[in-house]
Amino acid sequence: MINRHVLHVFKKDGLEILRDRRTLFVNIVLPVLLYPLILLFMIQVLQLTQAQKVEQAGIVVVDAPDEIAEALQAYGDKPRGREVQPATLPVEAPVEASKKVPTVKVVVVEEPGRVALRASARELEPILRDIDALADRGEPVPQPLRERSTQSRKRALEILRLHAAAAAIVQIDGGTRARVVVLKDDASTRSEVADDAIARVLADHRQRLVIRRLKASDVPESALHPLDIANVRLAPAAEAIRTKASGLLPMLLVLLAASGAFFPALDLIAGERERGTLESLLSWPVRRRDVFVGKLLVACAAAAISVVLNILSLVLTIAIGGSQLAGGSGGELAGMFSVGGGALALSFFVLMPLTITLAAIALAVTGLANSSKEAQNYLTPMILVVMVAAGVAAIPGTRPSFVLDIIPITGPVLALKESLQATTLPWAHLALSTAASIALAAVVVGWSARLLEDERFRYPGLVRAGWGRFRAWGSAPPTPGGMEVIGVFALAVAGFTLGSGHLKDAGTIAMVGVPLIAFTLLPALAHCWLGAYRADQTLRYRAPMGRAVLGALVMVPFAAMLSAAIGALQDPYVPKADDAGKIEQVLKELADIGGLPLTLLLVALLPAICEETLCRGTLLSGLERGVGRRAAVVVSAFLFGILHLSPARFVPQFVLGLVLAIVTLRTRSIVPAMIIHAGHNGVIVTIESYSAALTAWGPVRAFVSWFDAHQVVGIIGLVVGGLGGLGASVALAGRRPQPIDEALVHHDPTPSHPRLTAYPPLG
Amino acid sequence: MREPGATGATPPPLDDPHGMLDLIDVGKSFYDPKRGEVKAVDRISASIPGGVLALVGANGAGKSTLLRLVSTLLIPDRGRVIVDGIDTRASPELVRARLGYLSTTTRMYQRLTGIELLRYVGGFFGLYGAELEKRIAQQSEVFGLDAFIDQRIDGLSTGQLQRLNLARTLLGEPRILILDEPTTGLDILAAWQVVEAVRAATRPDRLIILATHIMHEVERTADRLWVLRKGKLIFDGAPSRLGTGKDFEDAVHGMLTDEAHRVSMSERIDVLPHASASAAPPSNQDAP
Repeated sequence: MINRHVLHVFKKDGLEILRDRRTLFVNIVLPVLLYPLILLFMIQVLQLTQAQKVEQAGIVVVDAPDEIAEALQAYGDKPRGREVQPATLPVEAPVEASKKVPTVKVVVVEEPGRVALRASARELEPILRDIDALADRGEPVPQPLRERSTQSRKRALEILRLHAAAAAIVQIDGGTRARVVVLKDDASTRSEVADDAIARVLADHRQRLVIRRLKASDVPESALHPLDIANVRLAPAAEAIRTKASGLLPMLLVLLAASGAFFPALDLIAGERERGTLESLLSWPVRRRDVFVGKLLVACAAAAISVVLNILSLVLTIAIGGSQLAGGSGGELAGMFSVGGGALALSFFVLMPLTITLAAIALAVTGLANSSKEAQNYLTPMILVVMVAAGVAAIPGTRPSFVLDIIPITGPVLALKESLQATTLPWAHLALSTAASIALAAVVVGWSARLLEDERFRYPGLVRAGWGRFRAWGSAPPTPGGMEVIGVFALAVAGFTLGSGHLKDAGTIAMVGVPLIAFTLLPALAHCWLGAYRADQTLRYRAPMGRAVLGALVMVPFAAMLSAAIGALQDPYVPKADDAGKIEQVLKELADIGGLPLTLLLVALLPAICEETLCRGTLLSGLERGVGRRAAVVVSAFLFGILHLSPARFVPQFVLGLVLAIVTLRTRSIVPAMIIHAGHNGVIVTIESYSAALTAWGPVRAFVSWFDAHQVVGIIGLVVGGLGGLGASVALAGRRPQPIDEALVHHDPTPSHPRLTAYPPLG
Repeated sequence: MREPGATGATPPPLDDPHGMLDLIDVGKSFYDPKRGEVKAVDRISASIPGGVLALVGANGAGKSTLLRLVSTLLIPDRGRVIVDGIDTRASPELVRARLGYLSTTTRMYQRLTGIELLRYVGGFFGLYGAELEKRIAQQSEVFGLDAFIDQRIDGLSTGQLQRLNLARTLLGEPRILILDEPTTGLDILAAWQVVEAVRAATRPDRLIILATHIMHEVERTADRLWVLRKGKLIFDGAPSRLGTGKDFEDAVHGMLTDEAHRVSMSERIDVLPHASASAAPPSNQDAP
């Protein structure tokens, strides 16, 4: 991977970037300097807001006991600033009253105003009760009632606003069960503060009344307080904060790495093209792959340097100035870096393949641009994607799962977050997400390193990098590439998973048929048509040879045997499909609607046509061009195995996929695979439907009881018989694999190419 | 690991005899939003030994495309381009190791100094250490680079830059030297220096391809002339066959414009058997 030429490119490009002082300053030095400045600014802002006199909310008290007014006057908020550290004070102590900052004040209103408020309160209380009752019964509110209510409100609001008050407490009835109406100006900026204060003060007042009455009737106060609660925090403060902040660190690292890799990426290929040096570089005797890898190294080094400098600056800033921010965001930031060197090293290791991937994608994407400015446009959405993917993982409460692990960016960030929180490392998640990142990095780097080999990439303006039907002219290959078909497959699986849920109420036939057609057949056909690929070579919609059909028919029982054997073999080890019951239910419903013919149509024939078109058509031919014939067989079978996202079905489908892929390649037509697939499903469904009748039949009953007694021998027999029969019939079905069609290697790009007219009728 | 670009590797044998450059039915088309498909190079076949080949044609005639095909920057849609016996498609690195390519549009790394640029280029040609320094000193003497070789390239004048470019192009001692309009934008003196450099670089075992618009450059340097028109090779022969001075210029001008082409060029085109069939427009047959 890394040779002399790679290092040569790396050294020179690195030197050039180091000499580009302005870019370097803006992208590396400036952020590093900015942290202390931002911190200073935050401290300044906090101090200013603390120094500011709090604007108090005015509250009017009418007819209520003086106690309430006094309590309101004394009511205040906790002072801002330094919070009591839980480590030094394990039991939460009430904040002393003397330290309170008053947030509300009692506003005095002269008698005419008090009269109006009193009248409004008295009038509104029953009206509102009536309106509520009407609404409960679903009856319309009569016009006069509504008008009175509006007028009353208006009158009270005028008085509140006249006295700059946010609310009024009006006692409308004394006696043993006093009634208080709170009139609020909920448009006031201080209304929340007033709400808080009133709620607290009235609650306290109510409690005081209760205690007073209890005392009057000689009941001890403890009757009201049967339970006292004390909260004790056990974990050291730093650990608690670290858990809260654990999502931030990996997210920050990913964002720093991404932006660190992106700024040189802008310059490395698009910049060379813009400045007219790319052509010379590519005319020198260096492999274009080496040029790309050298430039990739520069981007990765920039990312690493940027991350290290940024983190150092952050740590230093927090160490020096963080204490002034304790309790606020400073505490969380400080907690973020209390993770220690080990966790940081782990993060670097886990995030390294991710950084390489991002740098390679950035280079590839920006390399398509004609200028740095255009390249910048491409990077902005990429940064957004990185932010969203990392941000989702950083949200408190999201936990890693094995599905999330394989999602780029989100997986590693989640795993890291979990390892910072938990006392034991989540090894499985760390390993899986890292392995997935490494695999992704390998694929992306391998793919993008070949880009400079492509003249469309070297001269994007000159040679049009169009695609399929959207290209007015071009030399399109007759079959798609590997990455492209994996994309189509991913789309199909995503559609299958997301779309099927919406069809639950659509009836059984739609529930079975629509996803198959919409998410496997249609994507494959649409891709083939839009890409202007040849259906006979891409989907292998070609008439098969006679003996291929014969061979396929012979293969059906053996394929079913093999599936049954694998099912029996894996039974003890693989969890039962959680939808097994559902499938039985669906089969039963189908049988009720249309009997065996409908069941066979929907469960055997339709899946065979749809899934084969996707897996042995699009997927297999794209992979064949991308990774070669043998790897294509294995990879397509693997993807076929995960198509239904069911662990129990993986191995049987994988094996069936291998057989179908081999048959398709040997017969050069999709039809035999469709026959085998349909037959395989058909045999299994038929046996299931008639299992009762079949097991009642003597010979079958004898076989089943023998099988139960000699399971090992039986299963081995099934496997051997299945494989042997399959092998024999594969040999019967087709010749040795043909060399890849001449057109696949050296397609003739003359415009008279027949690819636009070469569509045989579908199906 | 295979050392890419190593100059020592022997090229795969080709049907002898072969020239320094063989074009076998080479075609390359582009897409143009207005005109649709444009055949930039339209089925050219030719073979050239060493010497200086001048490439003449109007803008858009396919000169640059042909040179990019030779220097492996573009891949032919059809046919084969064979440089010194090596197919450009089969082993592009081997071809590039024998190649010096300098185009009008070429600019250089502004933030490097002259010497750093030469070392960077040399590295790709397998030149390191003493051997590299020796070659650099050599080229520096030929092109008079000493005065500015330690300056950053963004501070050089156009003439100085072009001298530096020639030096770095010749650094790998290319068997094929491709100069795509090397004097464009230069003053008279600098252009003269370039032409002199071309003459100085001439060697029997080296092919210099010079694409130019300036006829007296062709006359002064070339011992073979190709005229391209709309992607087709319409003349292949010694420039002297077209006369000298004004005659020569008129003849070339005539070939590039329809009228004169019809009147005076039809018999000359016959010297190029494979071009006459495809290149001659139907109107030629009607010509007197």
